[in-house]
Amino acid sequence: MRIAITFIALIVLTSSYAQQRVKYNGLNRKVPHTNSFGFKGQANYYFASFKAETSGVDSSSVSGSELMGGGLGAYYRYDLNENVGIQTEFLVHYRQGRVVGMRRYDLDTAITVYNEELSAYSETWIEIPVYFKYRWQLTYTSGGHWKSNSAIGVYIGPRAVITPFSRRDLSRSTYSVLYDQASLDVQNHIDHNDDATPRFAPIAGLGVAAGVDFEVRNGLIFHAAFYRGLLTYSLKSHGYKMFDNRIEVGLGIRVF
Amino acid sequence: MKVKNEQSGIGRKWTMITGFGLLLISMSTFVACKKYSFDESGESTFLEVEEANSSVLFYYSSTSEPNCGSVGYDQFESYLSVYDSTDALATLTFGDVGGFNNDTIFVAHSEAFPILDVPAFQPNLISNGVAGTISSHRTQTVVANSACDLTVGSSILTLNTTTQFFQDLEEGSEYYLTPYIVVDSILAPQAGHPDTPSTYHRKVVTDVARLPNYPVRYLGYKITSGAINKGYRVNLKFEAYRDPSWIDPDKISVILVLTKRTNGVIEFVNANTNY
Repeated sequence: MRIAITFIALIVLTSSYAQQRVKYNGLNRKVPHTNSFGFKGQANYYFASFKAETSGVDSSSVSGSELMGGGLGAYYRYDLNENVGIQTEFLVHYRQGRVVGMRRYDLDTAITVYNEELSAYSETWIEIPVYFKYRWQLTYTSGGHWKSNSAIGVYIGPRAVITPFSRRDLSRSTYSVLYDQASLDVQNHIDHNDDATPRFAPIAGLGVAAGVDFEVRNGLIFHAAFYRGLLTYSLKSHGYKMFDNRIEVGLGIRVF
Repeated sequence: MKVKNEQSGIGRKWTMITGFGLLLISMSTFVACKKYSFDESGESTFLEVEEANSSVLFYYSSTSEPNCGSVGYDQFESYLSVYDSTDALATLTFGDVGGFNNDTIFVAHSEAFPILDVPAFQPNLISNGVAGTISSHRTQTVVANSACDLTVGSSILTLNTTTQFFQDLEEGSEYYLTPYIVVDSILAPQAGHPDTPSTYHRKVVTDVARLPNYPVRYLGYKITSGAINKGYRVNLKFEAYRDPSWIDPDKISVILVLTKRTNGVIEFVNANTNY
């Protein structure tokens, strides 16, 4: 079913045509508006970097992986001139993955505890970037008239992140060696009902992104970007920090 | 004519937006939810630990003190009749009741939880009112508890214990487990008791069970420190010597007492018994 929907969507997208809004400047001449608006969506490929907290433990490590995530939203661009503009976006971004943090405590010469925590998490982010964008319109005038045409853009800028929803499914494996006697305690899918902090992510974050896009003359936009988070997107109380690295690849559509 | 063109342009635009929306919907279906968990096949076998509070009541006694054979003895009997089915009661006796380790344990406890005179009753390691302390503890939040399985061999007692924590605990305290061996109705002299020298000494702590290859700790074996996660469980297996005079295995029992130490101060946490 999803393959059929994808196929239909691609046909519609490549056969339809979105005109750019223009304004007339007299003498049958028209120029583009200085602002543009559209929608965009993307698939995200993650390769986060991890940093284990070392204070209070005798050794620690962390590793993890994430599934492909995605985002969708809208953009607005204000052109300062024919090439330079400022673009802001409002994106809703969903991601999920897992991370395993291991901590070893040598509590005593006779007591060692290995604590592994597996967090399967999901997060919904609201991302608001502000990009400085440079665009090359491949042909933007013809006989003195402006004509809608393809354009290549590069952009870079900071991105504010708000994470209103995040949750984790926590499992814990504790291997204890007390007085030469070993115990392995496994708790899968620990109930968070009375947990004071079931959240996985902090409420706010910050990052920076750089990317390129290609706008086809019918308003269809192909875009790709790299995003680097500057703040951890897991709570420090989990025993590690996670810094976002991701490549975003997607499509957009200019409405005007 | 211009208006017509714009209208058809707008129509195509919305067709395109619809197509775009369809594409995003189809993309979202590729994102599947996954469940992750640890393999439970290698997990240790734990005893079931009840999430409940029980108290320990120690009766400090001396075989040579007449008041311990009269007033103290009777009072302990009355406490047994009230609390024995729900709480852990035992006698810390000073004096020869058969050559056991009771003197050492008496001294260790009377110094750690100051007892200046006998007979004395000490609920939950504090010198306070018995009834009020026991009933108050029962309604407190359960921090941790232990369970044990006692195997009485011909010469060795084997205790398998599980301790479970029921709260997330911050760093700052160390937790200790003390497995007391308790033998009921030991025949020995007791000054002040009408049956002496054949007095039945009730629920006498004869020893603290040992961990193989580690020295005995009369005030408890440290089982953890630092932050503790709710649900954490740990097993410990202890052993103790069985005296040949303890003929009836039903007279042999175990009291597990959990304590915590914060900056050197010992506090009672919970108690359990297998009888």
